[in-house]
Amino acid sequence: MSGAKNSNPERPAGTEESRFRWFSFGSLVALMNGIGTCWIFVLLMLINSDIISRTAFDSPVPGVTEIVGMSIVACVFLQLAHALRMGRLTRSDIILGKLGKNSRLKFILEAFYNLVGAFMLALLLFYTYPTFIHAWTIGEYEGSAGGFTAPVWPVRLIIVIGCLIATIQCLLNCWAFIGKCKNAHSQAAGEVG
Amino acid sequence: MSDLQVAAIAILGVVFLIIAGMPVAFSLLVLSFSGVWYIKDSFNIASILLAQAAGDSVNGYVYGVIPLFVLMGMLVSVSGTGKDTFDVANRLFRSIRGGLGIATVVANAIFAAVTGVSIASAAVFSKVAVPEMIRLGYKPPFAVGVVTGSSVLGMLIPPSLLLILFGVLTETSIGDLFMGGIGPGILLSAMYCLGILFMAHRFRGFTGDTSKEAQEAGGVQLSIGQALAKLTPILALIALVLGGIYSGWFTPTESGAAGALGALIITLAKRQLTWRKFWQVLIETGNVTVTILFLFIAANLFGRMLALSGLSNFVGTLISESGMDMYSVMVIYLLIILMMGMILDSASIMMIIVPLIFPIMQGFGVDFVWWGILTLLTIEVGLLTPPLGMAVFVVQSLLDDQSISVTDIFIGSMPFVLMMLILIALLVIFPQISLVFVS
Repeated sequence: MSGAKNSNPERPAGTEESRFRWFSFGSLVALMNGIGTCWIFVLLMLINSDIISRTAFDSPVPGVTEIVGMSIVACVFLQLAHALRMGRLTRSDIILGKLGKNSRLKFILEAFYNLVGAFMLALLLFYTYPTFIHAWTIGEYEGSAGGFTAPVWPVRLIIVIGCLIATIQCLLNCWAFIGKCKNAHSQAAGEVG
Repeated sequence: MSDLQVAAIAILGVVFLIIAGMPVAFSLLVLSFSGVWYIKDSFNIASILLAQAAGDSVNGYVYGVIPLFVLMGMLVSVSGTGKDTFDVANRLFRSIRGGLGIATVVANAIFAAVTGVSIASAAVFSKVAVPEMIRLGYKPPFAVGVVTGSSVLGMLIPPSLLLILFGVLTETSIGDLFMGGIGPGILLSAMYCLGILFMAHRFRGFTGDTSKEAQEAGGVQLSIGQALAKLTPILALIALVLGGIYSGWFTPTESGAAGALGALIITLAKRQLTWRKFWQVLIETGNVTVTILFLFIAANLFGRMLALSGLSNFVGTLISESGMDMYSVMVIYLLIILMMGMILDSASIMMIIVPLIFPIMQGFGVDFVWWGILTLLTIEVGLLTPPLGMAVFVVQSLLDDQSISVTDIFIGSMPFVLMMLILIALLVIFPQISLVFVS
């Protein structure tokens, strides 16, 4: 892990990472995002092949419904960290927009929000982990026995990993904002009121 | 504290945190978690419920529809189909005063039938239509207002991301909702066209001098053959997507996949797609999808917390005991949405308020297609009104001419907001408008 240096939430991945690294947290986030992205495209092809095969050869591709259903959750958690890194989560800037670009209060709030996010995601991580273990040990599956079945554990594992990475991303964001807050000069004090 | 008080505090808390700038999903998660913790007096139960919401609430075939329609919209936007449609409409209406404005509305309406997000329409037409209108003497605020106003059609005319969300939230057929959007969409387009015609003749101080436009009869020269060639791809795509759903041949998810593939083929055929662009489109699709679905998970947990608290039931009984009829409740509900539009974006408003009001509407036995379209239209008004008019900010950021201010655009959009409000009133009185195409 390369620490807070390349986790500046307002200048995300790529801009500061001119130095070549074999591994960085940013590249891990980007990799997961890329997998999720490709996955959506695979789903698109899968559904279309089902349509074509069903229409032309009267034989639907088995399991498309189950696979698509389970995949969406996986995609969300594969791409969540990237969305957090880019600061893409929906929010209102009705107050934050009014604070100055260099306002201390703004950085404190941002750091706090990321901390809250990290806490919720960590909770989610700790309480999803048992469901992954459960799905793994009993061999839980979706679909109907005898027909198409897909194991549930890979999706649960992706949620766990996705939560872990997203939690770390939130903490890194938080850390970066604390750093900015330290750097922000006390000129911000006037804007706060 | 009673459970009801907890729920009420949680709602106020969410509003407070959102205004304070916390990401909407985090605000919902943290307050619904705390709410459940208090009501059940168990940290453990609250956490398990959180994990369940994450695992279950977007687990289902129907959620596949969201990334697929987003992808389709993105592909169509980069394909240049929007400009082609605009060229044809421009040629069609060019001898009329205000014709360019009308052409923008018509092109937007057609383009809306292949894209599910207003932002996509706004992005395409602020690049294509605004410079042309200003060149022919339209006042910039009006020119931009036309684009912002008609971008609303992108959400109203199917496919529509917001209608998909509404369908998933209320378990209403997405196909029916899509068909319900057609009537009001056409009516709103017609109202916009007439409004532009009227303003171009009567309020020239607002629109600018449009007489030059009628004389010059400029713009593109198109033969009928060329016009048809430009329109064929988009019409084929509309037929595939909407025809597929309407005939029952496709599920909404399938029509999204077929539409996205169709859009991909069109974009490739028009040689508008580089690998780099394609990858950007896919990444952006992922970002939009995650944002919406993560919010959906959070809103789902919030809904579970409210259900545990019994608040929805309580409000339901309160309303039925007060003897308020459905129309008064509906009007209050729409007013609340208008107010929410001042602080929140469309998807968040829908995900927060619809589950809350759901049991009440069910109790009244209202038609969910009608209710959905009304909700959508009212939410969309918020896209055009200050302080947080998302469409306005998007258009402003995309304009080449940065001298046009946000205030200018808000002023230019006002006539269109007015027409939307008229349509909402009409729709409340005549639900048939939304039900004509629903089988």
